[in-house]
Amino acid sequence: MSSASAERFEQALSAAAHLLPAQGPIGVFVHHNTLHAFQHKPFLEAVEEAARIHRAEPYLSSERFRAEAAAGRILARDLEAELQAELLRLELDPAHELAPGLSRAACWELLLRYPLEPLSGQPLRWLLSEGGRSRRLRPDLEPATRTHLLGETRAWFEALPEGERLSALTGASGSAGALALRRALGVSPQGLAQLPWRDPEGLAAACLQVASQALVAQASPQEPTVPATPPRPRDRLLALGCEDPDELVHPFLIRWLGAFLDQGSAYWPLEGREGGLFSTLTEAWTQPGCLLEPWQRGLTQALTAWRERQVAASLLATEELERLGLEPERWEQALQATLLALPGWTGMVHVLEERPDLAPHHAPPLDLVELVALRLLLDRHAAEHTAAAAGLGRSLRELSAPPPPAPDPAAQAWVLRELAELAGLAAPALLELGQERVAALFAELELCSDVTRRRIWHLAYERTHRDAVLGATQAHWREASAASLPPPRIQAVFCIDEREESLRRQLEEIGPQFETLGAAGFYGLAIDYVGLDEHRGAPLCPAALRASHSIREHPLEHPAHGPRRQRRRLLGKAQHGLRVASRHVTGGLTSTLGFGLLSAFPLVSATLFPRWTARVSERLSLAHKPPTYLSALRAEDEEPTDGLPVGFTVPEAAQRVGQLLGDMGLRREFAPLVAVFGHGSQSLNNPHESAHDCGACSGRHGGPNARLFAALANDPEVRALLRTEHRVEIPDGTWFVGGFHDTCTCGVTYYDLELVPDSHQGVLAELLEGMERARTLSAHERCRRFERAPLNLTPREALHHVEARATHLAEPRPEYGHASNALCYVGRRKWSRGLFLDRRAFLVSYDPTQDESLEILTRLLTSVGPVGAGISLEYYFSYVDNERYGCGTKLPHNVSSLLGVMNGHQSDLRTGLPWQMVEIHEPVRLLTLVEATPEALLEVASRSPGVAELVGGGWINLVSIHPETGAMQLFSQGGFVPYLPPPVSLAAAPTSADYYTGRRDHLPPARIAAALEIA
Amino acid sequence: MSPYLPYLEALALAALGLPALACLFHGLASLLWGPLPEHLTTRLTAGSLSASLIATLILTAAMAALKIEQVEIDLGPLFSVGDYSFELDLLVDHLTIPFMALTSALTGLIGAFSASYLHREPGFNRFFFLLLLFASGMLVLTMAGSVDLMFAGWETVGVTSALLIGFFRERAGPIKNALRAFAVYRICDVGFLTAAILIHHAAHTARFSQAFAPCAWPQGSAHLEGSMATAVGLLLVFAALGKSAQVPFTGWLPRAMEGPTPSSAIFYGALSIHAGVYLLLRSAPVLDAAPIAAGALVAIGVLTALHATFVGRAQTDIKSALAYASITQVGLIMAEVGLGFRILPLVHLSGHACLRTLQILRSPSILHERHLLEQRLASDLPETGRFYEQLIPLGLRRWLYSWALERGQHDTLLLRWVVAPILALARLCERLEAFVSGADRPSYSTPPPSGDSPPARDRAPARELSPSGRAAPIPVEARVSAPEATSR
Repeated sequence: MSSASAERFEQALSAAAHLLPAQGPIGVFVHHNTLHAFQHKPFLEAVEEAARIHRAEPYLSSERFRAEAAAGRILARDLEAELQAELLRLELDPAHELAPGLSRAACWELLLRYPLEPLSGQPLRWLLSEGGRSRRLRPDLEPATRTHLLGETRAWFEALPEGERLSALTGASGSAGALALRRALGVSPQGLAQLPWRDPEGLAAACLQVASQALVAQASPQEPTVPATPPRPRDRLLALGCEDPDELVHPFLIRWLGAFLDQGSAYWPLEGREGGLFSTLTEAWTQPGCLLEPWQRGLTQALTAWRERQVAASLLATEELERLGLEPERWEQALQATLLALPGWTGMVHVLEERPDLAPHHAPPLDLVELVALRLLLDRHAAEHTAAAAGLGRSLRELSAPPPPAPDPAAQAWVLRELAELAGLAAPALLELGQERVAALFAELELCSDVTRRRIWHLAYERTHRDAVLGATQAHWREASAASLPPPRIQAVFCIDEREESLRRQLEEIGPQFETLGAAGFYGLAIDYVGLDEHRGAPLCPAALRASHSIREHPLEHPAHGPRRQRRRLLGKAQHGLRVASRHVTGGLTSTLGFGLLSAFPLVSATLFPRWTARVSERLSLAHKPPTYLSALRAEDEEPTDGLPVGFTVPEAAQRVGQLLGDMGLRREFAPLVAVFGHGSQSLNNPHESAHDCGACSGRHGGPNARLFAALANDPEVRALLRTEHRVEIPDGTWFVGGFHDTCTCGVTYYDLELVPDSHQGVLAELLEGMERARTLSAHERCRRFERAPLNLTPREALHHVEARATHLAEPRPEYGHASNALCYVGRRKWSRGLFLDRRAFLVSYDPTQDESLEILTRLLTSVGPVGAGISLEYYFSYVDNERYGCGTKLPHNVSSLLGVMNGHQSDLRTGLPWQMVEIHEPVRLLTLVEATPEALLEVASRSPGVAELVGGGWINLVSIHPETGAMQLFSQGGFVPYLPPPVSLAAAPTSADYYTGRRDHLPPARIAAALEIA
Repeated sequence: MSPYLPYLEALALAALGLPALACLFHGLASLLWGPLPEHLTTRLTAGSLSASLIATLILTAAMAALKIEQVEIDLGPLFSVGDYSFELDLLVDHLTIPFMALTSALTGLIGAFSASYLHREPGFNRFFFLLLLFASGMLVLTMAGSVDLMFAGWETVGVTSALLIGFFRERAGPIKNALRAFAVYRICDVGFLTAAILIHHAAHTARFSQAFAPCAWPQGSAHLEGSMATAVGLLLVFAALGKSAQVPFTGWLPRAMEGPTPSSAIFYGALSIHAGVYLLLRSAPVLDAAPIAAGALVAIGVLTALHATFVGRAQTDIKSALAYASITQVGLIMAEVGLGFRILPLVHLSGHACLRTLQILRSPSILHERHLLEQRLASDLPETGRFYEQLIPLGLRRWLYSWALERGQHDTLLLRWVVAPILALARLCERLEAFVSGADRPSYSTPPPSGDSPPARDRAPARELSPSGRAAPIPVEARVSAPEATSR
């Protein structure tokens, strides 16, 4: 192989591989932009291009949007505004007259508001004859339009002398026209004359039908554009009506890729994986009796020859491409189609090749090139077999796709007629248009294509949402900013996660003694954490960072520790043994005979009494830990022997703590008690469990970070250094407490309460009581979204309900996760306090008055932007096309190789989110409100390319709120423009519960008085 | 004759009738008013099945207390043709009771499970209808007093099984695999039907109480002569192979894991998979009289267990691994039946049903449970497959692995050596028939599309041009009626 062609192949492959899903093993789920490969392009352009490549949906369907408009979710004025804006963007004149009385804007609006289904062939014939449309107008026409159509047609019909009517209609000889019209109406020649008064609608419809057919028939037929032959033989075969060769290759390839990548699911591992994919699989496949399927004939020889040649896989792949007769220019296209034929598994190989550290147990050496070479060989054999079976000969080079069918004149006439009806163009008016203007109408339909219409709808959908939120925020701003509350007694810090919004709001509703703050939930501590029961570390920091320190949890001297460990190990061994044995012959015999009937107890109790079962099993397995401590600090001279340093030095700790507190704007005004909460989620029977965990801890529980943060902030040496070096003054009377919030059960646990000094016991009791109340009410608020939770639950019952969800084997929606995300607020809490945001907003604490250098804002947006956008966009795509971008319904999911889920027995590895997780989502881009001037934001964007890409490409919608005036500016097309939200009457309620009770849907923001009043 | 017999009969009828009526009501109501509200459906299912369970338990207690060995209920003939009449008679004895209890208890439990698992799923109503139909079919199968009625239950179980495998009908995979399972069922039905005819022929009755007289199960004996007993026995064994996924018909079972997890659990962990075992236990007197058939059953059972345990070891997805674990135990149970055990297989089967149902229901939790186990052990899970396996030479080990991952190539071999020849034969017959009759009948086996013919999917124009004389032949009708016409 020449080096040029090798280089060409490498380039083509890496370009094609970029399109593969980037999701890693499912045990650690990190939300990311599904279309990361397109992120350098503007959002709208990217989704539409990706939709073409992945054969996916770019936006919701027009039908869905129309339903949303009918339900009031999209306002008419917003649709109109977006339509005008789109015409402006496309540089089209809205007033351009397409037909008498029909401007372009009006035409587009009709196309938006009414379905215009392209029909052809049998369905069209059925609709015309059986569906009665040959003599009926659209049922959804405006009454005025209908009357107009009937009147026009009738007047014209009666005004013409009898002999000329039909020739006028068809433009051709009278007899053919008469026949067409009579056939359309099913009437006799005499009946035709009586039509105007007997069936005026039939006349109008039939005349329109015949006229459109005539107009289309007269038009010069368009030459169909011949599409290029697809580079993959499989696609050509499909176009020729053959069976799908991929259905031969995939079951085989999936079995073996599953075996090669297996992380310990199978009892027998595939041996020799250290040798790499190519060597292991070719060795296994050339075993006698392996390749027996008819399409695999000849594969053994080919593979043996490959093994003997001992050349690079890329050479073999190139040869295969050349064998297909593909010029190097088409390699990228061919490779793209090949890789995207099985995106999930191929993507997993690609991800694990680049990040072997993501493999939960074993990381076999991987090389995408080897997979491609093998796959191309398999593809060729399957395609040759299929072609031969279909009588097409065995040569794939000569296969060419059949020419596309010529456009169906009946289908074109149908579209023209539908449009004419909508526009109120009766048959004479349509005929008068003439060839040229009809052609122009068709050209207009091309312009206002389905995707264009859905784009306009989508923008209107976002606009209505934006106006409501920004209007409410502005209305709230002044009052909330002006409210002066007494200094708090307790400050509670939570992750920015939108699921914490309800907990924070409920806490603040108790009274002004509570103040809440938000920061990314790893609290600035990028640690590799080894818990008491863990035997290996797990990084608790965003996926973009690497852990800098190792933190271990050690047991305090406690008599329960030794026996606990022993008993747990015994239990674990017994469970593991039973699980393995129950699948084998003798072990299965003894276990089913011995314990089989006993398993009826867990079966019944887990199904019918999930909460109780969970408690018993926790007690039996001694899940409750005896007291422990963290290896938080280390002396400065202790250098790590190998791996990461264990614990922080005092200066390192002070730097981390000072930075986080400073970022939140908390430097002086400390309350006596500061509580820091990490979060995570625990649920059963949920392969996507990790997707509900803390994103800032890369899909793990963030409790240890909160605990560590509190421990570091309580250290006197760290505090001293904070005061001198970092301008953060924590008074001696302030104590930090760490805690953990389970977003699924609404459970809250605390760490190291025994260390709280006596002086703080009172305020601690206040915190515990307040959190108990807030978590119960937050559970109640969550329950309104669960259809199986009655709307009249009491808060206590609601808490039990969410606890049962988390422990229920049969619950595919333990929680709704980020499904409600739509907003992000960056700024001081004082202007969002008391605003009911319905668990939809990421809340980031930031004080612009303390950030003249914009260092803090840059840091915050650089980390929050990608995390928030990742979550929001993953939900967007998984919702808009759940089959292509998401992983479909959870019910048949089958965990494969401990890496991901397949549908049922065998399928591609499904990436993205399951329908049950996203079903209540509103697919809008993250509306990010930042309390900073436009100049400051532009400065930040110039410093951070990541932020610039997200904002500039419109992957998030950015709004600047002036810190002093509250004036809003919207980022749009490369710059900020002043924004005046339409006046909104902000709903108000005494408490959150008063506002949401009895309602299930997304709710617009409202002012909650309790959070702003001085109790 | 106990004076309590009418009460026992009523209880038995209730145990069968309540789920059947619930199913009928649900089906009719859905037809009339569209899908019922979720809570109604759930209550109907839970109510009828728990009532059925309670009736079964009372019946069991009463039979034990009154020392009644079997209860026979004769509901009269459904229809009669000449000498033959299809009798509706039920039989409740020591074999029936555990199956009845398992059926109503496990289906009821799966109903409760699915109420939240399938919540908001578009096929919710359909799923519950099929679950009720399955419960009714399973109860008919186990309570049938004659071979004929048992076949009705047997078929109901088969149909619901196939329909639930194809539950996600918008994808092609589930439909294909449902069809494969159904085809295997139908092939093995040949054994069932032929055996039923032979029993009629030899014993002049289809009733178990008469054919396997004079004692109650398991002491009865079949009044069949040597070769007839062997023939019937072998046919029954063949009938059981398909439903219970024994060698060589194991391939469909892992493929059947396409439906929602709870339906996979109830069918292929608990009930449907054991239907074959029930058939053989019910006709145990035949096996007693036919040592060759019993021997064949033992051989097949052991072979299945070995095959499945090896294949299962290489499967990397949790549901396939559990499917083969299921087959392994069912193979053993079959062997036990063949060896002449009667109570042991019953206990084995009940234990297996409970354990496997729980395992399949929990299969999506595998990552969570693995993590918990690692925490308890405070280490990685011990490596598996590295003990006795080390004794096997490397070459053989590699071969064995390939063989196991490819599932013993059963499906390929069946397709090549059984399906393909039969299809070839059918095509030959078709051509012969065309030659003899001179008629040009529409083909019901797909001809290979040739290069210049239109794509296979769109053959409509060719049909319109056919000189059949009818104005507009409806394609489906033409295709369906053709085989019938030839068979008459």
